[in-house]
Amino acid sequence: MRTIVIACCGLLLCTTTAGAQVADTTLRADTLSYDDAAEVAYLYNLPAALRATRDLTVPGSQTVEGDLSVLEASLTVAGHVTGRVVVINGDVTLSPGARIDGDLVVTGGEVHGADSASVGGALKLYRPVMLYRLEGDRVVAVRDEGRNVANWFRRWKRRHERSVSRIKLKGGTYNRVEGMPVLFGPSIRSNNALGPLRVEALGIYRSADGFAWKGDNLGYTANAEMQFGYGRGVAVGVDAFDVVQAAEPWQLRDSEIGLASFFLRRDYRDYYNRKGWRGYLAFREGKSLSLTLGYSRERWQPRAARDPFTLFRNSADWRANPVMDAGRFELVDATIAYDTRNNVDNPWTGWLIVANVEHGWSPEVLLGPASPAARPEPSSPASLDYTRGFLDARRYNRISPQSQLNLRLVLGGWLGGDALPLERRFALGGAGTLPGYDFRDATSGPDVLTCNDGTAIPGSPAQCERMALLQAEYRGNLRFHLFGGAGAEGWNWSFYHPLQWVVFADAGRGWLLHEHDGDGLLRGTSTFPSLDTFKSDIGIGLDAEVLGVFIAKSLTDAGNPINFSVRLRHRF
Amino acid sequence: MLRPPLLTFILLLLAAPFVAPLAAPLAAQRDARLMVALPAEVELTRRAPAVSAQNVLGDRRLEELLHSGFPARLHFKVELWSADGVFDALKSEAEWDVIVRYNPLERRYSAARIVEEHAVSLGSSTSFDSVQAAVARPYRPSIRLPSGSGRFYYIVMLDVEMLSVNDIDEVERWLRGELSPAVRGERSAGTALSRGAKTLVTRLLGGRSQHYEARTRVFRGK
Repeated sequence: MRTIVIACCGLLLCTTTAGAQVADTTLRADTLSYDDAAEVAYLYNLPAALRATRDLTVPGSQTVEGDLSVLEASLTVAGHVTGRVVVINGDVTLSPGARIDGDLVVTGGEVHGADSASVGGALKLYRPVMLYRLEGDRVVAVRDEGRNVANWFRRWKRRHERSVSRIKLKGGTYNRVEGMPVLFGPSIRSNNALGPLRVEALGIYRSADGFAWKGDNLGYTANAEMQFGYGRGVAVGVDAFDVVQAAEPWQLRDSEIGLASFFLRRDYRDYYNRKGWRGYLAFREGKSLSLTLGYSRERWQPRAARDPFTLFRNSADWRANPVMDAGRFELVDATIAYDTRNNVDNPWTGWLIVANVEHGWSPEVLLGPASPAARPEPSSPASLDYTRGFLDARRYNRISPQSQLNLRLVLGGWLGGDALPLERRFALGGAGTLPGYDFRDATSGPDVLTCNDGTAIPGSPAQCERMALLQAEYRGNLRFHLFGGAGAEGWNWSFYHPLQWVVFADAGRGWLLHEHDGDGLLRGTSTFPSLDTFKSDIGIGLDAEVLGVFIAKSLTDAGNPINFSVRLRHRF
Repeated sequence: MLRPPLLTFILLLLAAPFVAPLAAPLAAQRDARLMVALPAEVELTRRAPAVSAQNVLGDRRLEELLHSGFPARLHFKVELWSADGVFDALKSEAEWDVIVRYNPLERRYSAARIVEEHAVSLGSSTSFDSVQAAVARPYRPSIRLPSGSGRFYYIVMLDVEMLSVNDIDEVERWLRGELSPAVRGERSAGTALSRGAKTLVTRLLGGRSQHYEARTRVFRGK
């Protein structure tokens, strides 16, 4: 009985094996390397008994004596192939009882019925489509550039995030105090498991006075920062610096200041020297949210305007750089930045909010010249202990597919303690704030733009202790449909030239925190000024995304002429 | 009183509608088109719009740069906006890139579409027209209407740039007075200045770095 069972099992096994002779070597791959493709092409190009470029069937009654090659077509085998079968980019169906004595090599397809057929050699199935070109009847494998391109592109996109050590040479913003500051030195970024480490130490050499080698022309800036985490994380850093610092950098961009200075000899900022160090702790949530806490010890010194070269108006005088307060300060500050704009360069929706609070103190400050109204009780040197806040909030709104309404509110000023040092005061007027008013130009009536009482002070420094500015603009696309329109089958298309027309309005003023009462005595005030004391303007312009031209007219001072301004990128 | 700059401005304003179309053909050579097509009405909520860019590499300067070995990057962005409230709201967006390169050794163009980390070869050919055709094939990004009814529209943006010349960055560095392009590219500061000026002009005229935009009609979601 046992002998019969074993014999039956053996017979069954033999029958099964004879019906579906599985290949000795079976490879089923989801990738196809160039080397594999070249091998397949080589096999295809060998002399074959039968070649096909259309769907082919080998009937059960047929025997192909030799190799069989098929290109871009399907193959069905019911009969017998005595050699190798190569199918490039096609499916293979093996009928029950089909027989291939050699290898079966397939790319870009599937093999059906292998279990019920006989493959004497290896079965190699590469599922990806093989890239090739034809040279006559020969197939030549082609590298999959798509994959190479993708790898290269990934590296290119991350080029600024790679570990790198280099010597950096760059220029700062051209201005009337430094000319062209040239920065030179090593810069290192090292990525590690915790996050990126950045170290940079740049010397500063200024072009004013013909690049003369002297103290005024030399400075430095260095930074070391370790961020724990990529994208989001906590960063700890320290800065050391001896730099020329702009007092109100929020009004115009660096590029605009540099261009106006270099070409037109007009510098719309004031400067002072900052020397010291700062440590900070930053919490970063990607690019949309950050909170930075800092502590610094630094020495502030006035800087005088010099006479750097300009392309035009080279013989005209520069506006004097105001003499600001001088002393050693300790500062603690907190800054929050929140950015949800859909596009940084050309936003159509989202918020951009930057808020900063700074507390500073100094035991001894040499006060710079200011008008009696702005600094009623000057006693220099004086100790200072102040708190100041600053808010720049922008909202971008799309109101139709082709138009938007954007708003900006800027608030800044004294929050507590002593009066603000001149480096931390405000002024309005000019292309960046109220373009209907000239920069640092006295207005009729009380000066609510620089808060001067008529005292002649070189450079007309900003003296306001508080400031409020509201800007609004309506933008509409100028679209040209010379090459576009509605096509057949519901296609809509257009060629778009990035040009917008703009209508805008601005209102703002600065103010002091004390005023003379009826008896001529000074008294503090914390009330918000009446809205009818604000200066306002309206204007129109054309904005080509990277460059805009605008005209603006004061509404509150009818005698002011119409002002023309050129801006790089949008107004805000 | 009209001051000379103001007069210039008014002339610019008046001339703009006439000047801009003259500049446009620089970028629109060979009938460059960015197209976006909504799916059939019954499929609006299930299917994304089809995006196609035709002949956007047809500018002769782009073709020459490509032939010299500089890769071209076509950066697509589709935004779905809701038009129901006072302000239109951005509901979702999708981005992808198409990279086109020329291999001088094999004398072949190749193109690949890259969506996030995934790359799909769009083909490879010795013919520039063939690779343009491959790039122009409609593509449906993974963007869908949200559930619920409302009025919507899609906006498609395409920026075409040659990767070796990141125009805006270079111009901005130049405007800030930086010498980095000269140092990095081992070219003189004078060359950097002239390149910056040239780039700015070509960009303003819709030149080497080109921007296209197309949108669908406002439609109602189910």
